[in-house]
Amino acid sequence: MSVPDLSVNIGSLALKNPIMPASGTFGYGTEFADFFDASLLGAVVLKGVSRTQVEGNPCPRIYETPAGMLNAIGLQNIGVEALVRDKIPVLKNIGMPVIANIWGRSEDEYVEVAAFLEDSKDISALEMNISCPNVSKGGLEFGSNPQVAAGLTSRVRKVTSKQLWVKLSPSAPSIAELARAVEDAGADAVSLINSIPAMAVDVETRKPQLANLIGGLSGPAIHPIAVRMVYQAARAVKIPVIGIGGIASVEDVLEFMIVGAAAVQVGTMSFANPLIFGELIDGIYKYCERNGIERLRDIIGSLDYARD
Amino acid sequence: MKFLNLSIVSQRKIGSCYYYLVLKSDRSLGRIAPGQFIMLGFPGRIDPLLPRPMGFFQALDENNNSTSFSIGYVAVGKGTNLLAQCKAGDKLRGTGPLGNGWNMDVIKEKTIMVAGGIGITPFYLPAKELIQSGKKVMLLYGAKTAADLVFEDEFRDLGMDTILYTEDGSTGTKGLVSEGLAGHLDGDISVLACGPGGMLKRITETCLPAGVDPQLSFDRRMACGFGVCLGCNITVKNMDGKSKYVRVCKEGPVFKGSEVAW
Repeated sequence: MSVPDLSVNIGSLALKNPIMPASGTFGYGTEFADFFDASLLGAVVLKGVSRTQVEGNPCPRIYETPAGMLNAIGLQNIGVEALVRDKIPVLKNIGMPVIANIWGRSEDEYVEVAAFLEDSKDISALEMNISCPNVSKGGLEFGSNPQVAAGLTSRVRKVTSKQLWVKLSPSAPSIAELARAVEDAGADAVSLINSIPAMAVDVETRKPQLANLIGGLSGPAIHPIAVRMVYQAARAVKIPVIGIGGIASVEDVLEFMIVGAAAVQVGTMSFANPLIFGELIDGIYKYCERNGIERLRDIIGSLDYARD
Repeated sequence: MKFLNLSIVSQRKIGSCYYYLVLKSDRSLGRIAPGQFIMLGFPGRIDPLLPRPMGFFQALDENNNSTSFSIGYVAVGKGTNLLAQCKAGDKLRGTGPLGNGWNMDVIKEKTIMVAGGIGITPFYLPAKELIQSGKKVMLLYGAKTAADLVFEDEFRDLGMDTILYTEDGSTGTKGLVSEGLAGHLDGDISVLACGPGGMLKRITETCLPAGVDPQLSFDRRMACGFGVCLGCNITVKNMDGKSKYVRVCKEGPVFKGSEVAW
């Protein structure tokens, strides 16, 4: 048998494998350079940027929970101008697609950020975050209502010729309806799930564990919820679905793909194991070899419903 | 900064809930600068999920080419209690060395190190280095009670003047170590401090009026330790007086008392 082909496509964008870091867990693409060669990744997804610099929420911003963590960073970022000026030039020779994650505190700001990046040739796609649980504006208010999400998607669609991915919230009443709404509004792909709004309390002091009170739960604890939502979204839309949520093993990657994800993003677990990206790519390669799979993309949406 | 496969050489319980852990790495960490730290985690586990930041205590190889080192810690939560159950031969993994450590270039002829509780561990490496270069070093070591002052001998063995403080008076001087510092701030000295946030603040309030800008090592919750999670920020003051967030893991863990926005 020939060497397994791990490449996948997100619309017209070809990735050499389905493994990407998740936005907000990979900095601006260079922070992991001491650990591994980032060019092995399918693509990089950068920390979310807004029009201007944002300081984010007060500390404590993180708290570990069983098999997961809460974060309420509050989308701290350097702003889109600094991203283009200082960060993109460093990344452009890495030799793989660079995805900019964008957000705004108003619909206008989303449009401004997308428009600003239009001339940045080194950015292959925009991932629009309409689902951050940790900012009062620019987060869930755009992401939980299909009509609002569709309206925002179509406004950003008009100012960008790049691929437009929309990152969806697990708080949506119907993920299928939300995914269809942004598809109809011009999204090229949907990525899900963002972290799940959650909370923890120190019982000795009776204080919240996060200064922001509520944060987003991520990590292996949320993986089965993410698999369910990726499955529902993938059945609802024709555009590619990108699976995100608690990937800690090769099996977690394959699970997402079998229920319909064309690619995946890995986040929280890379804090604990910065080498996880290479381990996952190696692992899916061996899975293909072991199972005689010539093209990894053939397993996308291959869920077998038949009971034995 | 490297990702390291570690094995436990030995672990010793000291007092009620303190541990001295010796680790060996599968490859060299290079030089461990005084005041740097490592993120220690459990391979193959998702609970506890995240590694824990731990200050390097001792580097156990010569020639700035460390493969063996020690950590001192207190078992207080899920991760450290699990670590406390580990035995020689058990595997851990680590990311390190991390952070900038103490600024050794600005140390004066005489240094006072102020340690609160487990905040003692990052002082061994700088103390050894300063003593070897002929400088005078004094340790003020404070904790709640005598049972918490578990690493006193290691420092006395270096030949340091060591003064103990306990809040309950069970040994040494009764009171806070930060209060004890005031009586020693004479002459051209450096102050290095590590301990709880309140202690670091009091030390700064004591030192700055006396013309000494203390170096403070901060402990914060961290998920990654290398600058991406943005979970460990503290606020510092810019030259222009504006405050801004910086990462304790990357820009710290040591900051000047004068730059911290308390």
